[in-house]
Amino acid sequence: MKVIYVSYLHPSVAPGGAQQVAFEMFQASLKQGHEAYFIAALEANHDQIYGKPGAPIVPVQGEERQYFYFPQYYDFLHLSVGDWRSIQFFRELIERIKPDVIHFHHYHRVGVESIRAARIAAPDAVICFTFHEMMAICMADGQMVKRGSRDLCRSSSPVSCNKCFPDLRPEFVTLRSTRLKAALAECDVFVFPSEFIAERYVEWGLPQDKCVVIPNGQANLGAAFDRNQHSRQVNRFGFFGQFIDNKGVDVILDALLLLAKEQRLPAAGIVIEINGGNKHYASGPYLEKINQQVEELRKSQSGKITVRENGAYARDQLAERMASIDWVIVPSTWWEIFGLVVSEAWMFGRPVIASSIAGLKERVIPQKNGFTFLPRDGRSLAELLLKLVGNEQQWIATNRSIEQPWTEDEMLDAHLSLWREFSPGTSGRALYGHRSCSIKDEATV
Amino acid sequence: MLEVPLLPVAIRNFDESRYLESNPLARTALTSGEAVSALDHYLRFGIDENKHSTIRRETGAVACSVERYLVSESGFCLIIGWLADEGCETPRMKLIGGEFTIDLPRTACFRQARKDVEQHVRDGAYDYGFIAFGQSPSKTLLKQSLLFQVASLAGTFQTKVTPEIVSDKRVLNTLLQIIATCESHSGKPAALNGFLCGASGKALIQLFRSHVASAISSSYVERFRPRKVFSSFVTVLFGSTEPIKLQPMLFRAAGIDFGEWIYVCNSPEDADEVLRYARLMSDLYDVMITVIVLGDNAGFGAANNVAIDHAASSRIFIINPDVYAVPAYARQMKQVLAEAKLGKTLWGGLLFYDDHNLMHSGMFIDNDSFVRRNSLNRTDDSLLAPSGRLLRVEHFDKGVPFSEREWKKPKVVPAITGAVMGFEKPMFEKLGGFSTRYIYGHYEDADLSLRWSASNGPVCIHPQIRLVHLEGQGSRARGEEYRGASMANRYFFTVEHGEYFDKHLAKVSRRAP
Repeated sequence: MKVIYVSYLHPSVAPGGAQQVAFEMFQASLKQGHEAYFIAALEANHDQIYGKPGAPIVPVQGEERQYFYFPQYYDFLHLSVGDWRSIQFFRELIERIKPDVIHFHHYHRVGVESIRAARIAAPDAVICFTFHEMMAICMADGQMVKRGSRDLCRSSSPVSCNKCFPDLRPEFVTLRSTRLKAALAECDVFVFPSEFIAERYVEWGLPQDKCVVIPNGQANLGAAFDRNQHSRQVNRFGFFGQFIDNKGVDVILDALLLLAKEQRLPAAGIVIEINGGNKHYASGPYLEKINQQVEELRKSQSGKITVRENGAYARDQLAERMASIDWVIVPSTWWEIFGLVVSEAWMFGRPVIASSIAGLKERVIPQKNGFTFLPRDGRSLAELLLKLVGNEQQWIATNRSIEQPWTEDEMLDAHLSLWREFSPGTSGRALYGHRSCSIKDEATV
Repeated sequence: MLEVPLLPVAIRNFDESRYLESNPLARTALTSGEAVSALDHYLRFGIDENKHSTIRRETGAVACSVERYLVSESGFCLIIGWLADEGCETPRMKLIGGEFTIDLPRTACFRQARKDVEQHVRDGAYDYGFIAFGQSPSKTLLKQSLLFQVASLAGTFQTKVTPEIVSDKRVLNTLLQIIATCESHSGKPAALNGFLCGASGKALIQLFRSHVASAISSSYVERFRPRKVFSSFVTVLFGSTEPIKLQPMLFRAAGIDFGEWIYVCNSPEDADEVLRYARLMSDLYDVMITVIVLGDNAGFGAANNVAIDHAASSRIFIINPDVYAVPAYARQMKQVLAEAKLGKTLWGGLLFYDDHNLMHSGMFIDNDSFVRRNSLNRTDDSLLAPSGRLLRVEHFDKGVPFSEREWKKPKVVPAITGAVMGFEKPMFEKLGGFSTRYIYGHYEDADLSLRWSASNGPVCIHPQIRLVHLEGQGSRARGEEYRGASMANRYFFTVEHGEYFDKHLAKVSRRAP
């Protein structure tokens, strides 16, 4: 099969979940003998480093079948590339490749116009779109967290969106979403990595019969790792991911502060390893809060709490960092769509302690592959930590029942079978129900 | 009547017989008993009327300030200032040059309340502020320093004024901003009525037309994917490029073939983006889009006139930038577009706020009365009428739930909104298009409707033209000048159609068929 993957960013330029998944699918496709291409739409300033004069699309230096795309005149509110020239180059590249499938992994920077261009360039190709976030639904970076109050937003509407964006009238919200839906209507099928995000998009207005849930898969980085290794006290907890507001490092610190204040810290103590990058994207008030919490912890002088900040990590450092912890805490305070970090923890046999929210709630099954606590609730996490520290038996039981997460090959296979149903020569395009490949039962996909 | 003792005035050497000889009214007054003597008449009437210069009076100086003196490229001038002439007759204002004098007519002057002056001069219900506005016969005559002179019973004042040489648009907008924000102790409607319904109103319209002529003289036209089309949609953009990103795409998504879509860009600063999106949308959806970029904001009427002049078909649909297809009613709209001709009718549509609630099903005309308030400087009634009325244009069915069974066939209405209009181009041209007497926007749609029904044929709501109108979202006309223009247009509309309204109340009011 000839497949073009269209991604926002490239993992080699900037790490991130969506581009990682797209790129691993591309690599898996090549590995399986498919003719695959990868087009990564980069940020506005990236053309200074990676671009060539006058070229909206350039091959990635030293790589085959990979392209950097520099769409001009990007309009974030409409997720629109307002430049016929960029779109024309994109379209001509697709025309030249003549793909069977065009798999979009984002519209941010790519622009929804690219979907239409793809349709014109390859009228018979299957156009598949995977949603990794909720930007079409929510203008606040697709997080569905209310600006100002940081409350979780449960449903978008013209009036409620206007509360976050007072400069944009409710009618604008209506028009914006109508336009996006019209652009997305060019797609044959929509893929979601979790039931949660699929439901949000169906509620927003995507036709349910085009929506399919296929969980993200990843290359297994823990094949050579001793999954059973752990400390005797099982008191080492790791945070992995981005050190930004919605990832909830503050919830961990809250839990520790509560235990310290109430003098309920376990005798073995608690070790927290923060493995988080992109701290510069965190807000000022959030970092101030973190500093204040750290200061309070220091003042508590319990002697039983160790917090280490290890900074960002590359994927090849993951094994090393996983080796120094027993559990992985995923305390996200937003609607975490899927949580690649959960998959990473499971690759290394680390039970996950996650906020009971969105995609995390679907994936983490208490006592089977991890534990959950109430989102944004330091008290709930504190109680859980108390139950788990020193409970080696529980750790071993959970560790043994963790199943290996989906690999990139399994993810690709699920997509291939989906795309084949749409390909020319098959007996018409099947109508899809909300075909739920339950993440809790991945083997049934 | 109470006899009030007056102050005793003695005039030496007053020649009674000479006074009576030269003053027949005084003689009559003596005969009728209105005056008891020639001196009595002189003291009570003659001095004020200045009929007999027996007494030499030195007029005092009156506090006054000229704050701005603007002269435009076409010779329009606007003088802004204040004059502490409380309780006096309308002052006489002059501009004096080396070899010429311009007497500013009373109708060229407008008095407004000035709180700042009231605080510093004296408090009270008095309109100290003034503006004087008019057009010089020569474009260059006023572009020099002149002597500005005011004479009133309160005294005289004169000062040298040096003009700010500005564009017509600057004078226009400055005046419109004053219209928008001014207050008057006699009541704003009464004061504006006196100013706008006469010579100054005509001069203001002329100023706008002068600006329009300049704005459209250098228009740029570009057609993307030109072809033979059977209808032309026309949209005037102002301060927003959103519509070109949205409308062609959403109409097409609803399956509506609009033929050609003409976008007139009234804000040249947006031209690059409009042209980029026009080409992009045209490429992606294989549709004909024409972009006309004007040199400046020529307003709704003139911009539409230019667009219709360039239209590739004779079947025109004016579509506001905030009008969109309703997918549920796309079938009906397609049917309308499939019809051969629009005939002699000016067609409007059923406009919705959303799928279920109407915003518009035609317009009618009503009026509001105003009564001049008493104030300290109303010594001259001839300038400000004691009462008056202003026409108001209202929508039928604004905000009501839509009832399908009421809309089986076309309905004749007094007027339709310019948000959606459908007509044949020759019929529109026969009327000379939209009137450009309405500044920037508002009232030209009702004006066209009234002229259409008087000369062309019926004005009707087409029950199958069903679109959503996100009213007020079409442009970003946020400045006070646009509010002032809308206000002024209401007076112009009343001047133009007030008499017709009075005569044909049954035809144009809410109870119209």
